[in-house]
Amino acid sequence: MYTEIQDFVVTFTSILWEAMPFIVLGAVVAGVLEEVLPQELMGKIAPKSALPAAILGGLLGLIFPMCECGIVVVMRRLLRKGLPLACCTSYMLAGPILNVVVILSTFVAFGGLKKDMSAYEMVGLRCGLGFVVAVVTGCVVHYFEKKHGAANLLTAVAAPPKPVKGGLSLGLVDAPEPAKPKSSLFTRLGNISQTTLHDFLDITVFLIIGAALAAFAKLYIDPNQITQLSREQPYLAIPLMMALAVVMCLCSEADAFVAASFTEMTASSKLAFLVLGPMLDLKLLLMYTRVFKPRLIAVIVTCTVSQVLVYTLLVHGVYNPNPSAGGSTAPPTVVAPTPAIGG
Amino acid sequence: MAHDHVHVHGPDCDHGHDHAAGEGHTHAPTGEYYLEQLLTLFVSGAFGLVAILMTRARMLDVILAPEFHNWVLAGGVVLLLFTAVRGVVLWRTVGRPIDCGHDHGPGEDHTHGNIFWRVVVLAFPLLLFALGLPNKGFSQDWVNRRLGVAEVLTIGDVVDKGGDVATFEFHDLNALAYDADKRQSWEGRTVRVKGQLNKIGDKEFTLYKLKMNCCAADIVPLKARVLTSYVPTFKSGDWVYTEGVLQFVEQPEKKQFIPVIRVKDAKGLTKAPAE
Repeated sequence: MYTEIQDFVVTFTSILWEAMPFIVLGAVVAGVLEEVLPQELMGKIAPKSALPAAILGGLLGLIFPMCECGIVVVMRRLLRKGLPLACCTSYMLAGPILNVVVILSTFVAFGGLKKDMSAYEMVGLRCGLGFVVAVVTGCVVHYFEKKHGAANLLTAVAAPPKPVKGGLSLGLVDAPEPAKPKSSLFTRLGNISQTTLHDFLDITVFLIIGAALAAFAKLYIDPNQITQLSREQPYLAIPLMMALAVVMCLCSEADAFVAASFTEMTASSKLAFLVLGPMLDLKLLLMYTRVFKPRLIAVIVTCTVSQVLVYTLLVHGVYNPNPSAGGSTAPPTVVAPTPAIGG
Repeated sequence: MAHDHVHVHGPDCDHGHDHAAGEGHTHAPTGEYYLEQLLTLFVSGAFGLVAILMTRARMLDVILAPEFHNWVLAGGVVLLLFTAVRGVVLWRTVGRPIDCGHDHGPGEDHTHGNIFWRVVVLAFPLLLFALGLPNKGFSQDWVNRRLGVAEVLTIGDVVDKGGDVATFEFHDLNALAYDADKRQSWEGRTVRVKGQLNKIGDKEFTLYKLKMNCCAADIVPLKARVLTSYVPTFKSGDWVYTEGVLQFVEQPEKKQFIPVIRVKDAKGLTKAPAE
């Protein structure tokens, strides 16, 4: 019992404190966005139709790289500022995969510049599938927004401000924002700090609950068992690795190293782990509740899980990447060390 | 329907969400509002302080990779700074109307008071810190589970090439096993590497090192096998320097090679400081 508590505390605190600085970063960005970004600007520059908006969101991570913890906070503010829901959703899903840091870490984890191209394949497939899943989900979310209305899909803290009938508007694109009295620097700093602290605590609550759930689940789930089960039932490898991604709550910057360490698993099951993990895990699921209502969370979860499953099965059956894309648990560019004399 | 008039929320007027700056309507501040704000400041400041103290007390060593320590420190400093700024602003705005931060529809009930249950959740990691946790890494039980059952290897003889002793980092040694040319080149050489022991038999051990990429949740065990010509007194989990002749053995079912170190005598297995 004592050792279980010890292991729970180590896993829980590691997930929490690793995410904490990035949530602070996301909250500061959210605070600055809230203060300096005019309400009508996003509506003016963002595409109106679903597909271009979702594509833009899917690529936004290349310009504004954020990990999956910080991106929820930033996305919520962008949503409040009038960025289309399809765009925000695809940014939230693809951003933690399609960014330079994650691309490089995946490349290194899967063998880097080795001759067999496995790293290029894995990076290409991860980014490609991540982008497609995010864009399609963004479009599906757009459809549901049209059908049910944003108010029925978003929480009060995420929904853009409602327009004032017959008067000035805060949310309409075609109505000008009422002129605000010019604020002093101190007032603006005060506003930024208020939003930052608010967003930090608001999301951290759910990060804590998610991290605790993940730490508890990890007490009883052993990756060796997953490997063993996949060996006995190969058709279960992909869904098992997807389930593992949800439970492990890994940062997208590190998950490729863990995936690469599953040397006995097929490349397609590792791909499923790498694509789904940054989009959906226990802590993210809890954090989503501060942005989306349950109906929309169900849509996003169903859409991402089913797509990742289908696409990776297709990859496995049709393309089947280099079976040696097993990667290495060690840096790929290992040079034989200079012998230390004596010893 | 949105409104921008000044109003006071009665005790039954629940908001269901929190406020951010610059949004929605204004209302006169209540005692509950200030209590919320003070709790927000207190918890944010506490998180910032704990982040700094954990970094300084090296409590992050067991849960985060070194490159993340400065991130946590910076996060803590930023939180403290913002808490200070917000505290001063709050002090200066006492008694003035407050911007509510959202629109209300007719019959749209939501609470301003849900900060209280959140404080309970937020206090959990702070409480762990107050108890001095985490103070060590994963238990030996956890490590054993992650190492799994040691496979039975068919280990043949190896020709000792002699020469100088090559000192390896564990991950470098592990990487040799993935490259056929390097396996051939290094087999038979005498190597020295630091790791932890896990007993398989009297003269056979798994030598391992837990490799953390970002945090303890992503730890992966790197493994080698150690064969001794005598019965060492080390226990599972002990840190040792291992020096011996290197060979590589294929693992059945995995089609992978694992480094095996043959230790000649007691000098080849010495106690090492824990990491």
